[in-house]
Amino acid sequence: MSHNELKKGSTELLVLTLLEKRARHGYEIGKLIELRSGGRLTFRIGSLYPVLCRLEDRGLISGWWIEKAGERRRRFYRLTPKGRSTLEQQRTDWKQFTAAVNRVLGGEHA
Amino acid sequence: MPDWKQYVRKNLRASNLRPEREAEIVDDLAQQLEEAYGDALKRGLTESEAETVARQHISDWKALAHDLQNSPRLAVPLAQNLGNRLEDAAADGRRWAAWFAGVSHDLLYSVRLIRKNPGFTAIAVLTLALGIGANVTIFSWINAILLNPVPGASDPGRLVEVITLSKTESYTSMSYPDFKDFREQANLLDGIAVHEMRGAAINGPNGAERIWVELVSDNFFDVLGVRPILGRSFSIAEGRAAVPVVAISEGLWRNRLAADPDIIGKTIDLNRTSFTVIGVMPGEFLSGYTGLAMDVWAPVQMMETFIPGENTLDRRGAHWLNTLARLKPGVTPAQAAAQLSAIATQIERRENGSGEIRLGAFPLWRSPRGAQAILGPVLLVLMGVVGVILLITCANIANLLLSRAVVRRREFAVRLSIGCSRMRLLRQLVTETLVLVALSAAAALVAQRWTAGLLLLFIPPSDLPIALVTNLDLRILGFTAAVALASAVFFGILPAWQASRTDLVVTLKSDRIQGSVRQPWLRNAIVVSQLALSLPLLISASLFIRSLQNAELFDPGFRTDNMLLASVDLLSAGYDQARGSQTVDRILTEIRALPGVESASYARRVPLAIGGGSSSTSLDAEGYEPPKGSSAWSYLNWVGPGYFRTMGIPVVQGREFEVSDRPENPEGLVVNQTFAERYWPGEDPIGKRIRFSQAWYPVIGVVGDSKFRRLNEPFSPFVYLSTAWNYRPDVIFHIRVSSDPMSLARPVRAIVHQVDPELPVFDVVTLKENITAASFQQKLAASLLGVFGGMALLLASVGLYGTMAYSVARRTHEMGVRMALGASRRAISRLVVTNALRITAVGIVAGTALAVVATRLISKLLFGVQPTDPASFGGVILLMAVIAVVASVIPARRAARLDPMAALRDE
Repeated sequence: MSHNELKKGSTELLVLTLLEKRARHGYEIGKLIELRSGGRLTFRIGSLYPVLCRLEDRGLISGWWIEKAGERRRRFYRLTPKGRSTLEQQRTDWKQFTAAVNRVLGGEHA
Repeated sequence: MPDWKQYVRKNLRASNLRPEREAEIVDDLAQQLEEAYGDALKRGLTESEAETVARQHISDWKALAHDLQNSPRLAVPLAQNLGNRLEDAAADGRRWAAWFAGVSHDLLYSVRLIRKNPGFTAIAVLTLALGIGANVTIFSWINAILLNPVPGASDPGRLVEVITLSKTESYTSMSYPDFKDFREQANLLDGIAVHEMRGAAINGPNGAERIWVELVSDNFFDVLGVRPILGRSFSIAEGRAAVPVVAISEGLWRNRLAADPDIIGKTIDLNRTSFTVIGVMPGEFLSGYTGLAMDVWAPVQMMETFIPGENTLDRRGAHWLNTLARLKPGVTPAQAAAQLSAIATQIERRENGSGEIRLGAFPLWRSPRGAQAILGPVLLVLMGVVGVILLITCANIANLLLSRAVVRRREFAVRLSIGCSRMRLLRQLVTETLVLVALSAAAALVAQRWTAGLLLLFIPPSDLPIALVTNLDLRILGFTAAVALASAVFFGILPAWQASRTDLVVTLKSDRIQGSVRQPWLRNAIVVSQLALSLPLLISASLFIRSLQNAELFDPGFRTDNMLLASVDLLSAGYDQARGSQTVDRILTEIRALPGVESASYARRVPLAIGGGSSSTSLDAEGYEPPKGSSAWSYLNWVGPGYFRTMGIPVVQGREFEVSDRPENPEGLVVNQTFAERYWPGEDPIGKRIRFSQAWYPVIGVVGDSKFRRLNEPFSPFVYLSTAWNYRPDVIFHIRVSSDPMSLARPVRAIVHQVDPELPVFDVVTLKENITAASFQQKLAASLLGVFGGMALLLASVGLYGTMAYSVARRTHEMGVRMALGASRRAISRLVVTNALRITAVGIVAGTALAVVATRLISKLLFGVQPTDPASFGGVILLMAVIAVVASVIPARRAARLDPMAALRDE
């Protein structure tokens, strides 16, 4: 499995996690992923945007426009209650999955 | 700073997003890109570098647009999408685009109409799908058998089948020495190849299995233009000497050899001989025979393995190979045939000192033998039939549309009055028609996957490896489109013409639906043509059904009842001649001892079976002088002791073969009466001699004539050879039983298994089942014509009913007047029925005329019935009259129940 495929599988989880505490706008989410992963994970706008749309289609996040004087309007996203429970579920799944994978990897070395 | 909004909008164009969403998406993406640009500037990049960085954030716009379109929230629904696209194009200012945008509007309008009238649409589409579907189905068969007779061959238009025409009365095959001469001398050909099929056994871990092998000349695949998908095809060396190599079919490779990628160079066992696999042929290529699929191909030089004891490669008299040739570009079949005939005549003069030989070169679709010859004539008749069905269907739809046009007159009038051009109105109607047709054609194509396979249901049981490729291809798609368009023209033109003649003032003033004055004759004409067209179909169906009945009752010269057949192939099982004949005798003795068996024997061939026996040979009959350029000939069969007794063929003179005929005794022959009368008229045939290849053999018996290839063939000369002197490893046991023949299937299998557990028994069937092949054409035609004729009649009677019901509705006022003036209810209903009968009578007269012409075309396919059979004509005409009365009864009763007062008020 390439780095890219791993990334694809976890994008939704990353986005949902970043929206857990507060609402954010699209570009900010991409930037935060890059920052927090120490530059190891980068998302271009072109690949993150459809993910946001998809999550919104599925009712996991909702978006709304905020306008400030002198700036372009920005679209912010926040977690819906459904998104929150999905996040919990996905987080548990991910931890179990990575733990399982690590155990196997460790086992092979031992 | 770059204008990001415009940048995004430009790149997202034509991506079918909902307009209000698209604006939001553009805003959102532009804002994000702007931020990225700003960030880049902050990191100290130059403006142009920052712009590049920002642009790289969205490199694949197409993928992005595609992702967004998958969101139902963002994308435009499909139908609207089409309209949007076309309207976009219109906005570009190009005239044709505006026109298309109009069409897209028409399309949307048509779709809305369809959704508003689901009943009408369903009936119209179903009817039309039946009509188009019947055409597509028959065409797929024609495609498989006549248009694409050798799938996988390249440039099949230049392939011809070469057949010797003049040597005997039937078509003869090619001898190997002749083939070699043709190959060398025929310079109008790009190649000439021979092939012949045989059953064989492939030996594997699970015992022997029967497969089919095509013995071919080394250049066979090159002439056909078929390339192996693995390995190579045969080499010239393999055409000169017997080298045990084979090419195998993709099917065999995948199913039996697990698609072994290293199969080339490995060996497989055929008839207990090891063959090295040199190539795997592509799956689409089946064989050199139309409609048959082979499993392996072996060089003709290896014939000894597959046809032992008959190594005829050096014998010019042994005509046993089928011939395919590829014409040089620009050469016609006639030119090639002329050259081949010249070469053949030259050979004949050199070998025999005299004689002239004529050869024919037939394009594959016209080949006088094989599936093309059997199915071709029937298929062409059926193609005509489904064409007629389509016409009748179109008439029905035209009728439906006419009724709707009446309902929609006001709609048209309103549209015209507010400035819609007549052209525009016409286009609307044409679009509606096309939508109907497209839906029907789509339904027909979906159904084709199943209906195309129906042909196999009609093919009688046989051990031949029958395979027909009826998959959708471009030709079938093109044909479907053409048929659909043609039908659109047929049924769309009348209603459109009517509608475009709408009289504005009259229609707008009238506040209720009213038929036009012109309508009655138009509708009547449609119904008359429907009736007239269904009549020939029904009469032909009846003629074929009577042919089938005649075939059932016909005496083919032998008894067809209570006979069980069972085949064994000793050669594949590895028997030599001595052990083989012993084994056959042992099996026969034990079968004869079974309770319920009246008599039993065996033979090489079963008469009247599909592909059964057409082995004929030229020979010399003692004292018979053949006319110049021809020779005596006869059909041949190899039979065992007591064969004629078992078959119920009478022995007219002399005796038949008995168990007491042993190989050590001098050989004798049995001939049929036609043989004796043709070659020795007025003489005693017993003791006369016949020469095959080298030796002369005396006739020891004369038996009654029987049919061999087809029921409607004239009796032909026939020679029976005894297996006592002519060992055959491949025989079919013929077992005459006193009760149900299939009840002996198990005991017979048990006997063979007991004699040798390794010996496979196959094709255990009754003789009756086996000879259905003889009336195969009639059965196919009768079944399909029955179905199509019924369909036509149903459509025509629905049309008649509709017309009657409509005329009652239209003449309500008139009938009220009649009643007020004293007409009885009975007189009123008689009025309606008489009207229906009058229309039907015209239809019947026209239809009978058509039928007289049409049935002459099928006379060759009929059996024992004249094309002008009065019973068929009379029966169908009567049936039609009855249907006319039935179809008019309901409208007539409605008319009779009219309340005169209400009817009078009805204006």
